[in-house]
Amino acid sequence: MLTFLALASVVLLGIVPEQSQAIVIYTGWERHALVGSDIRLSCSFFSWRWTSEDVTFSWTYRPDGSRDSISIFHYTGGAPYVDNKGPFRDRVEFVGNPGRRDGSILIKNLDFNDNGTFTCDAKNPPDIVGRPSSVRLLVFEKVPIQAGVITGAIIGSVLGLLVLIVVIYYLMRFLVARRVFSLSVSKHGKKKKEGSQQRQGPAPPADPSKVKASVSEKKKQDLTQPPLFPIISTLSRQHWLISSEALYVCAHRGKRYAQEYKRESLTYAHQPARLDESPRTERCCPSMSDLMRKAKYKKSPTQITQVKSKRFLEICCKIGQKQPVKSWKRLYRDTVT
Amino acid sequence: MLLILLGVLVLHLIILILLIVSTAASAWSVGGDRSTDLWYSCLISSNGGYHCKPSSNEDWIQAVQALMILSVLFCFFSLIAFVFQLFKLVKGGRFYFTAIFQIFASLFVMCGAIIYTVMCPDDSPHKQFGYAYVLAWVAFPLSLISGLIYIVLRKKE
Repeated sequence: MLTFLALASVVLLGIVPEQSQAIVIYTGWERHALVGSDIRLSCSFFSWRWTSEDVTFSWTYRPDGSRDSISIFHYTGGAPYVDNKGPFRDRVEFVGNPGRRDGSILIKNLDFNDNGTFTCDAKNPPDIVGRPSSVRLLVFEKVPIQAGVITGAIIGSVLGLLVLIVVIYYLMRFLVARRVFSLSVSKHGKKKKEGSQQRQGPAPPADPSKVKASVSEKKKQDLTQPPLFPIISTLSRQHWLISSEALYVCAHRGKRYAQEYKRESLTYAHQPARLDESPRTERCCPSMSDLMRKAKYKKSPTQITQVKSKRFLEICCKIGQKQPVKSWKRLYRDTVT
Repeated sequence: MLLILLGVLVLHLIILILLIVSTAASAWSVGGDRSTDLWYSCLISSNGGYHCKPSSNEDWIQAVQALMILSVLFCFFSLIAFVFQLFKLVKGGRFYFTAIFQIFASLFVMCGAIIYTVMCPDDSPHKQFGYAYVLAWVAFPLSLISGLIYIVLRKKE
């Protein structure tokens, strides 16, 4: 097996170079620099062959607006040869590493006349077919800011901040609702545990089998610990059957709020201006703002502390309105005990 | 009641249009032969042709560009929030989101116009401010008033 793998790798290494013999040279695209500073022009190549001893690098320079290019650097036979007659006399230094396929040069003390295109050509015998790569040098008195960088930064940061604030707001609402929910479930769980110990076997539930299948795993769940995402399951109308404990509490609260509303409306019957809707016993979902206002008039602490998460309770009410409370009690008893 | 709603909506749309025109139009300051603006700097040559190049890459002009774009975006967001809250708000509630976005839009326009006023280069003597600059300054108090109206406005019970 091992010999087969070794043979395959040797064959592949032998086959592949014959298919793509070209050498690929990488330089930058454009370089910006300040007058008087130094710049490192990098040049590296990729070749299928191992780096040979006779690897060569050569750099040529073509000024802006001119069509002739002159050679300013050449590396061959293991030794670099720099420009000693041309415009870059005594300013070019070889900082590359041919063993690592790096043929970079350093140009010192830049001037405005150095604007132009630098071309790097590398050859790795026998891999000599390749295309030279060019990098354009721009010399500035003061390095300009790219167009639109600051604009984009300001716009991006402000919009990002906005998104962050919105996310935090919804997260806080979710956490508050979850806390309200955990408090209510622990309260009802303790009451139910005491009551169910004296009961007989559970009556068969008359609800869809989907409910039973999805909540059977919640049977063993501790009652004091609420389902992980009760709010999410109740918020989505299609999945409102998933958490039966959540819905029991919802419906129970809904009924309780309907009774409260009825009582309140009869109390304030002599002040019709304060009532926005006529009292009806089957109404389960009064407007939460009405409830809060009435709670303030009555100054009852229980009503104010219970109406903590407006949206959560509104949803609860709507769900409680869908089914009569009697069947929810039975469902809860059947699935939890 | 419907009249108030319509009036507020029309005012909002006017502000949005003013902001868009002010941001997009290149007429912030006009000189004798050149107009240096938010996006382009155009020079009218002697034989009637235009020679435009992108506006200088200075920090302050990019900041003004960003602030104007942000104000347009926030005005647009506040319009969407207004329509959304019109249908979803509880009765008796106030349009807080709309007001906040509108006030932010007015703040951004103010900042942008102030930065442009302060940093505008006074090269040529006959350089005066163009109509887009005036529109930006007009949009600022209008949007501030609109934002305050939204704070005061309440959904009908």
